[in-house]
Amino acid sequence: MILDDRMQNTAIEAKDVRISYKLMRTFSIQRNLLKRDAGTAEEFEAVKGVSFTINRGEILGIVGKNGSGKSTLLRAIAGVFSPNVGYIDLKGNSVSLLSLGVGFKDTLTGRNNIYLSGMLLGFSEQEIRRQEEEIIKFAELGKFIDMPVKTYSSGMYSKLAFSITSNLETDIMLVDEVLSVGDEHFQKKSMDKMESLIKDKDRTVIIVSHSIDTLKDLCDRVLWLDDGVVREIGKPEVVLENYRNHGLQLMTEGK
Amino acid sequence: MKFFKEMRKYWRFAVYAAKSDLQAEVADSYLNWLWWIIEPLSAMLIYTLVFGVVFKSNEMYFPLFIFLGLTVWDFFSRCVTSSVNLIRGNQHIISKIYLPKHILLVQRMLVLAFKMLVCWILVVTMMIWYHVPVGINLLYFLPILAVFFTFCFAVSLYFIHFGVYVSDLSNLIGIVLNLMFYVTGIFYNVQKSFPAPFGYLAQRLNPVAHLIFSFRKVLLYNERPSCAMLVIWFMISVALAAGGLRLIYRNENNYVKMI
Repeated sequence: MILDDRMQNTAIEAKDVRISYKLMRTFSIQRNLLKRDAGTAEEFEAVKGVSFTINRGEILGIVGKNGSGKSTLLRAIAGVFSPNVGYIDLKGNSVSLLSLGVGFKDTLTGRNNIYLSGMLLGFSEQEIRRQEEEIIKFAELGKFIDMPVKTYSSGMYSKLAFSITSNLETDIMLVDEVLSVGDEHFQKKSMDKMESLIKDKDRTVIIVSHSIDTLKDLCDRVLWLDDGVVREIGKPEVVLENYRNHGLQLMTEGK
Repeated sequence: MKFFKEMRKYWRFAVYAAKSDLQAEVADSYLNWLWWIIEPLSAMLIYTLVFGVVFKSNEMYFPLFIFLGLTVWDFFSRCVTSSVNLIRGNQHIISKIYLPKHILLVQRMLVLAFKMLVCWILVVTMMIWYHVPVGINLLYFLPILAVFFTFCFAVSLYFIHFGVYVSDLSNLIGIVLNLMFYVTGIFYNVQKSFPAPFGYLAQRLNPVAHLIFSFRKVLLYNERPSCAMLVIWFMISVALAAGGLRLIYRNENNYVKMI
């Protein structure tokens, strides 16, 4: 029984995850015929054996300097690609990458894109129809909702993206530096929305951010990713303090 | 089997996406959906003029003969051409969420199938206009169409895969399709035009040519198509499709990292 409960409570289990990129240039017939510099494949490992489990309802922050593999890990959890070695088990939970949106087709209208994104996230047309008005209202797009997305400003674009993924709620939400969407007023609004989403007991959230204060406020646990490996995982105050000190130390050493 | 499960799961998405694409296309252009009719009709007029009047072709219902060929050919060539850039063109989706890549092809084929439907309606209209006698062989129409779609799907899967890795594949495809267009017999009868054994072979070994030939048989001449050939091409297509799907499943992990 106890074991069963614990298994149900795990939302994400990552085991020895390794993700590598092949730095290979695309093959070109023309280039190969003329120059014969066939694509040389060089492997680059972005995530080097990361393991962790996250419980249902937990909020995990991920810190690390640029290029430490944070976004790659997040994309793997979102299912964009699977790990080369190891596995990530979502225990059947639905998942979405909150900040980026699902990706819009810019010849289509905002409304069409709401439906397409929703369907890709696994919602039925009826479920999306129920949320449609709310999404449009939240995104503050007005009549632009029936115009092709290519006519949108970048602010409008990200407002719509945020509105879709934050209103169509999935079990697991992955947040990649979301807190700078749109103008100041919208930032405040999205921050509030984020907090209400995060406070939901059943929702599991992973936040990637450079802002130590944000993470300290929101997270239950913090994972420090350094050069593709877990440097430390634990209480936010402790990990973030060490992370900050490490950063300062590097600065004074002049690296 | 994974394929059928995914098809069920993403079918609504593919249909909705195809519908949106068509809507956007209509909203975008001045003459709207009229282009779907104007384009093939003008092509038909051009070929009828060139080959009917200048080269004096003596095919029965010559404009209809050409139009039918073009209807089938356009679907095939557009399907292949768009497959090459399918992954790159849908980067915005596949770099953010998992989507089985062949769903993108299904969506594309739905768009093309709708445009093809418009052409088929024109074909029927012209058949009535010419008083083409039809009969029981019309029943073969849908099976032939099914074989044709399966074949297009199967072939395109390979272009999807190699399109990711070979950056100038679309240039090559353009040339190959151009050649194929001329040997496929859109505006002439392959079997009658090539010398003895070659005509027969060219018409049977080139699936697109064979299927166009079969369509003409059932629609224009009220003849029975070769069932054996249809079954053979269907089986080959299914095998090709299975291979193509396997190729994509094995490599799709790398697509996102390549583009």
